[in-house]
Amino acid sequence: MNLATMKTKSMVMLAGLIVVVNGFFPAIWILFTSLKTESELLQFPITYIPRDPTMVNYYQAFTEKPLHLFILNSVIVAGASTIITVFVAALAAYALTRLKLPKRNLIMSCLLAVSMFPLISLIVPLFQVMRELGLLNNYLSLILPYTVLSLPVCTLVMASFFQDISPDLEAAAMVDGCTRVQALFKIVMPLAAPGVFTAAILAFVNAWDEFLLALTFLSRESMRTLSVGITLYQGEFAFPWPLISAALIVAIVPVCILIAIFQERVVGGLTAGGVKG
Amino acid sequence: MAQVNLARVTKSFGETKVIHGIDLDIKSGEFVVFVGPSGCGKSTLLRMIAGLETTTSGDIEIGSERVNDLPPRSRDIAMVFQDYALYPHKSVYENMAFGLRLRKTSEEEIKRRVGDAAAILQIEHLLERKPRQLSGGQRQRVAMGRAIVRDPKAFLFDEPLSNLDAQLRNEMRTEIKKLHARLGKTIIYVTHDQVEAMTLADRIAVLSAGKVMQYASPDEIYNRPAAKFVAGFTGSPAMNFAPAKVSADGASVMVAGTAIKLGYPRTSAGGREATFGIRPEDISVGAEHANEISARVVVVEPLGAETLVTIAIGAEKPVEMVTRLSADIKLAMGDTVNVSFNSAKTHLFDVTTDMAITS
Repeated sequence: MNLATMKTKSMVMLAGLIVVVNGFFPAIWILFTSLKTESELLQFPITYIPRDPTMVNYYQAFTEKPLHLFILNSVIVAGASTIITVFVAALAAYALTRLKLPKRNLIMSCLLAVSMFPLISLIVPLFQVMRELGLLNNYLSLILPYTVLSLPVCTLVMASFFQDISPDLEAAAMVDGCTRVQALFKIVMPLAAPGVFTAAILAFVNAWDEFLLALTFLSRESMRTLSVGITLYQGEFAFPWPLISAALIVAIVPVCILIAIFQERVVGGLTAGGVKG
Repeated sequence: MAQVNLARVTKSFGETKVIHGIDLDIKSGEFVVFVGPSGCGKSTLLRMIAGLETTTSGDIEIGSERVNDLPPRSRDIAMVFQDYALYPHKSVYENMAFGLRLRKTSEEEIKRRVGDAAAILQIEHLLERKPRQLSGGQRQRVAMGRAIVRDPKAFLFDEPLSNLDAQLRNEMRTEIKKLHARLGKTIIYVTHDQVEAMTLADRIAVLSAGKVMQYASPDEIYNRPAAKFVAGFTGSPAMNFAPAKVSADGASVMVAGTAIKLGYPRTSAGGREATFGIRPEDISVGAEHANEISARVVVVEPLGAETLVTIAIGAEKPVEMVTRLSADIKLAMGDTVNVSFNSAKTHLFDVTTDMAITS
């Protein structure tokens, strides 16, 4: 290896390291904060790594507020909206890639446009709709909009994967005895698994992180999702950083676990499909 | 086993009509080949029989049941695709068992049928592999195995050998012929390769621009082509064509200023312009046949067992024709030779309709 190659390689490594540190720093900082006591956090000079790590903040996070309920609510809302999104997006993506639809490109463009809508512009009409339907303080008031908001991107992601699958495979499945829908779920979906997982992760993370709608539509404390529930730890005059950090770590961990499990497929999903192999 | 009947079948994509009222009767157990150039509608017609394309008008019957409105799964047919269409995430065994599972066949029966089909195709050792671990020829066998296990009324093959190299293609062609002899099932086979069509078929349907130009046995297609297109499409090298003037009594033609006697008179074309046709093997060097004329050798292409020789006849406006000669006959470019035409094998086609003139 010559000097120039080594230099380039080290520069690339350095750039990568900066990106990783930049991305991980807030999470690591929150993790360390969650393991400190209030007094250690406020003392000067700052201690970066907890001198005397404690789990008391995690205990208090669950006892001061119903954190377990917040988690359950988030799991229900994000889980349900993810399942519905993946199911509907699969059907929509299949229709867009396989059926001879008139104005197909226009439909795709509209999908893209919908995904660009700022959430703030939807909140007032959505609130009125939810109130009329009597869905306020009901999981459906979040599941439905989350599904609609995630659908465009998930549909486009899946469509790009379905496009790469030979239509002859479905034809073979239909001759073998499948209905068109069976061919989609038994043959196309397993082959587009990276795309399906990518779409599922995108939908789940969108729903898990969302704050504005969750704050507006679920006002009862027992119905709060994690993203809103965590803000409830803040008092009028106090800001219990270690406690909030502990709750935040609890909110981050499920998503990290989910992504870690499906990492290989999601990375494949984000990179494949863009170019024909 | 079942017969397949097509009556006045048409297909349009929007304003574009791609199949123009096709009538075909395929007997039970018959091996029929649809052959034609790219875009002639042969694959579309096959997919219509399979139910993968809708039929714009006309009737398709499989085993005397009208199937126009039935989905592919209810037509009891099996299909082998050009790109094999094996399910990449399933093993060979699961690929072959898939159709049977959908039909709720018992595990025991599935195992027996897959085993039998694998034995016929000599793929027993591949059953646990995934399609990506197979060669092109092995994939083709698995695709055929998947069709065989279903024991359907008819098999449809859509250019199944076109992705294989020349040697493998010849081997698989023989395999398919053996398979038909063994199973005795109705087979409809699509190809653009006239050699496949000639070697495999009981009957060939030659298609052009969505129409059947001729539907007959390979022998009839080759020796009595109904149209210039059919004559030109079959045989390699293709039939020689030349503009001709038919004599008043219809017994001979003038080609490049040379009179050539026809096998039998075409009185209907007497005195008219026509297209003369003769296959390369029906032109001989020397006086083997009547019609001996002088020709100049233009190109010599030795093929080992035989030699293709392009000759030019006529002096003023010479017409070039290809002959297929024994390799023993040594000729060189520029030689002048006497050639003769086999009158019995001469063909005449109408200049406007391109249909054969037979009377």
